[in-house]
Amino acid sequence: MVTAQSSSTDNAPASADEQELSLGTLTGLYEQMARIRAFETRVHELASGGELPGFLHLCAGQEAVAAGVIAQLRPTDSITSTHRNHGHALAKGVRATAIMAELFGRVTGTNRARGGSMHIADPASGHFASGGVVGAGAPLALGPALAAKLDGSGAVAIAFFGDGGAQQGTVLESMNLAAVWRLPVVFVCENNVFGQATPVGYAASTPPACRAAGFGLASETVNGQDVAAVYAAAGWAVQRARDGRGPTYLECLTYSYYGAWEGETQVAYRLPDLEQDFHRRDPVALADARLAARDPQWPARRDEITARLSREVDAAVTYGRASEEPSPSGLCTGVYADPVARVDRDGLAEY
Amino acid sequence: MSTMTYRDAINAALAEEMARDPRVLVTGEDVAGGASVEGFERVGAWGGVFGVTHGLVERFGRDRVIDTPISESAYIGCAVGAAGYGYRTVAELQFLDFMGVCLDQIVNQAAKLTYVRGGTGPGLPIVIRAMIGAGVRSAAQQGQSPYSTLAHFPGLKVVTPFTPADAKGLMLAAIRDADPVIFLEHKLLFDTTGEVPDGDAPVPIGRAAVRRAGADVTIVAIARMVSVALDAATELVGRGVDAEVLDLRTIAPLDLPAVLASVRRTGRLVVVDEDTPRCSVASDLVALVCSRAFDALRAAPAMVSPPHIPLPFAPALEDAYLPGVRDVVDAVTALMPAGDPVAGAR
Repeated sequence: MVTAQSSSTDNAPASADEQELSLGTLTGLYEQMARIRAFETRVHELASGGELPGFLHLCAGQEAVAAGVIAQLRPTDSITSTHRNHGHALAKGVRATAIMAELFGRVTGTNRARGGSMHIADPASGHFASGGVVGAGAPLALGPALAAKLDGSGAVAIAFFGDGGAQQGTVLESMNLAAVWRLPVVFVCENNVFGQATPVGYAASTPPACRAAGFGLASETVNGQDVAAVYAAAGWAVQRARDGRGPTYLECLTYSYYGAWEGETQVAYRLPDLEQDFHRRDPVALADARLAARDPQWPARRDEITARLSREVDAAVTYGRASEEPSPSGLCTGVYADPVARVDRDGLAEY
Repeated sequence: MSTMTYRDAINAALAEEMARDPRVLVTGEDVAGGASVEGFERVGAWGGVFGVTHGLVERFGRDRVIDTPISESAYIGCAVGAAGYGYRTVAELQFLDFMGVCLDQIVNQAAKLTYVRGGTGPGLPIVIRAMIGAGVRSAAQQGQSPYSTLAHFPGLKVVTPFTPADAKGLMLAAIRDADPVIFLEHKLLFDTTGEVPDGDAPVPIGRAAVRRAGADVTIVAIARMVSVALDAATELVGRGVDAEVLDLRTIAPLDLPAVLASVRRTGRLVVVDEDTPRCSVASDLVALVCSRAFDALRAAPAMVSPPHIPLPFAPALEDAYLPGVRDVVDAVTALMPAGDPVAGAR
């Protein structure tokens, strides 16, 4: 029978104040956020310079959610992501060189130039799929979760989506099915206030996390600018899943500095006061301040990290620029994986 | 060889493959039935709404035969994701008419993830079973055969078995295939019987089959329309026309080589398809044959399709809607030159 999972009967996550993270953990989280920030900032520059084809959706400002959630994952855990996936990919261990090469449309990219920014995936790292159809990742994440449950592996699946995607039927259906089947999945809503140009207050009848109880999921609303808070909430949710206690819904409140999409110019709907408030609570700066308060060596360590990450991004850009473009001769291969039913360029059987 | 129904042939394929491969799952609405009802822990209430999955939960348990809520996007997406983690799910969409509610998971996720993620991965093995076909008065939203919509999207394989042997063989092939396969079961074929090979006899996806060899005209038919075409062929003998009937068996990838080989011999083509005519598989076949074998044609190819209308309910209306033997005979006759059809066909 279905058991309603009330978050009041569960151990709610400790607040970030109660649960002091180790310096090592906090440093690691800082570095992951700084890595994402450096990458996205550079991508913005490259895009502004016209070097990157196609659509780009940057996550600068939202780093704490990617870093905090994914730091709780093992390599055998999986994520599905949205079109705004670079931070998730980096945090999951996908190499910056491969992501950057994909953005440049080179064969060395994560998707061998077949997908581009919106489809970054690296199954070997547990980044199963990303895409441009809002909410499509939620059903997909149920798959590795079901596999983990049937295998008894203890693995967990994360489904990322935004405040816009939170209303999509696929997300709601997936929440219900995950609860009914008690799947080890964490639904992470990155509420960055706007779904394209529409505020969540208009699009959502209730704050997204309110729906969790309606489907029998545990839930928590988290300050998405505070990586320690995200890390704590994610740890709680992930552990619940590993313990077989079913799905959890985390709503993380954050903001996208580069707006809805790269190149967006009509940004008047983005209220200055709101933006400034999020900038004042910049996740990287907050972690930096916390570390500075705890560690007198921090400024030197931070500078080392900053320099190293800068070289990492430089190397990624160099790699992207230098890598080979795909040849059109390979255009039609790889539609089917199975070698038996062969097809020609027109999708007709060939034998 | 054993004689069995089309329904039981599919059931046998599922059972055999589930026994052979412990990572094959069957999911869908009431594929067992009675989930969570006391007394039904190891027994299914229905074994599928038309009984196709009967006996499976009793044999393999509710961890492998898994009832779902009415949430096609969720459980089909789940099957796609599980395919990346070692599980081959046979997910039931029940009626193909329902594909609208989960079309994205099929055409944008299942169909494209292999290519879009680089085209070198091991594939996403998933079978989606769905019913097609009119003739049972199921009305507009439960009697369509809209497979052309799925054939339109690269990355899917779509099969329409007609015989019980093909139902079993194509299901075996579908489960073993590394790619998403849409397995379409015609409602009016469930109780038909036929000889099915004993032992392991998968049927290759992407290959049409000649059901009746003939010299004067090629009739390509899909699913239950094969039966209509064969009946028409029998009647055509009386008019001196020797028809070749091709059972298409696979909608995607289309076995055009087989169709062209036949048309090059007969010079005439009629395609019988109970899907609506605009942008149908029939129209695609006619266009392909015209563009690639124009020189072989002695007459313009013809399509025998329903009218381009929603499927009506009342028996008199549905019977008028569906292509029948008369329609096929008339279409073939119209391709024959006037006068002695036998002499004209040579």
